[in-house]
Amino acid sequence: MLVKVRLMGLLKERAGAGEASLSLRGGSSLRGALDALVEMFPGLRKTMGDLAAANPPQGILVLLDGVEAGNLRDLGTPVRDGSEIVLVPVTHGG
Amino acid sequence: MEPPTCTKCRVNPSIYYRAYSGERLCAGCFRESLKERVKRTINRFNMFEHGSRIAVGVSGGKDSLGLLKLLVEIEEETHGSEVVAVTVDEGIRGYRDEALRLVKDACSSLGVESIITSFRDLFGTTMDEIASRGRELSTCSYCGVLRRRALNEAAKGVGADRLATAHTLDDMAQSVLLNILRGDTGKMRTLDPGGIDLEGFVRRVKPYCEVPERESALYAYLSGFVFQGTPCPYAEEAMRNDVRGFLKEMEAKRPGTMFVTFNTGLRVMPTMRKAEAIDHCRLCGEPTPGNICRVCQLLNK
Repeated sequence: MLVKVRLMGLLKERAGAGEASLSLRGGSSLRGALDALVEMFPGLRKTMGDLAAANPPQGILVLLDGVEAGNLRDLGTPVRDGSEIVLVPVTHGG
Repeated sequence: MEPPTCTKCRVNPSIYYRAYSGERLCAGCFRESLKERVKRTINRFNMFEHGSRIAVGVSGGKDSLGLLKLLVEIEEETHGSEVVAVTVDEGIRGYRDEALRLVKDACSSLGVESIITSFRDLFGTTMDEIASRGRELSTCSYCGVLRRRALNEAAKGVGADRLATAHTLDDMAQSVLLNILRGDTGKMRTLDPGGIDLEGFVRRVKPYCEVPERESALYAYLSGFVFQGTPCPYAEEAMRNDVRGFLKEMEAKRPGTMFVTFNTGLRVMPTMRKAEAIDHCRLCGEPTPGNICRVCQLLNK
């Protein structure tokens, strides 16, 4: 299945791209999608690792189809074909 | 999976779970609740008067842009105060250039007057120059002191009687813990979100002090603000970063920790408050509790 990702602020800068399309296996979770994203953009490894260390991640807002992951099943929430994930950095840039 | 219905309007699907209160909010109720929170904070700490002229320190980051938007809306509905955006250009190539563009775009879309002041104009130097010199203190120590002076000068320059900054709940809780860890009881009194009237200073208020940074980020995203991509190249507040990480971890495990920490700081603050005798700096004439102000101490080193 295909999932679209949009990166905001520092995350966009670190990835070198504001958008990405991920090809995931059926039944993948948000955590699986984020792992695939870091695989695609190694520049995100440190930032994502730091920001998404906790579950729910505290340094980053993860929105799945407009809903914050903490309002679903955190990073264990399953993603669907055609879903959109938006990542918003919380700590950087007050 | 489908999200639960909003616990406030009971109509729309929720988009955000507020762990410290148990609320699940739709986008509209989230935005409205944040505005109500800021209104309550303004009243709780008697921040403004009818007809105040409020200078808002706007850096171009998500917190200050969100605060600017909310204050414009709230003041139109309540006190009728004028809002002016004041921005400090510290002279950090790349980082500040991007932020200045974001401020200009946001002010233009909100219809807010925008004033920019610079370290170059006020102090004859820039953060890039200060960072390249041999220093005893961290770049953040210089930047913090000079920014406070610059914001005060800009606020005075636009005839403001209040200077609003976008310190979030996270910033305030971090400051409480930092002051304790450093044993700096004198600084506890500067945490008063309603500010203090001191000769020569525009009263500083912090209307965002009860807004978690996480909610500030969500509000900025929902408002369509562009998030700054370039990090400050000189950011090196090691101790604050440690405290930030600790508090975020505690908040995740025990929701409400940030509020408890901040409110504890407020409770002990009156015992730390003392009458401050204000003199004038012998070098620049600006108000200071000592003979030489901190700005002159730093720039003459």
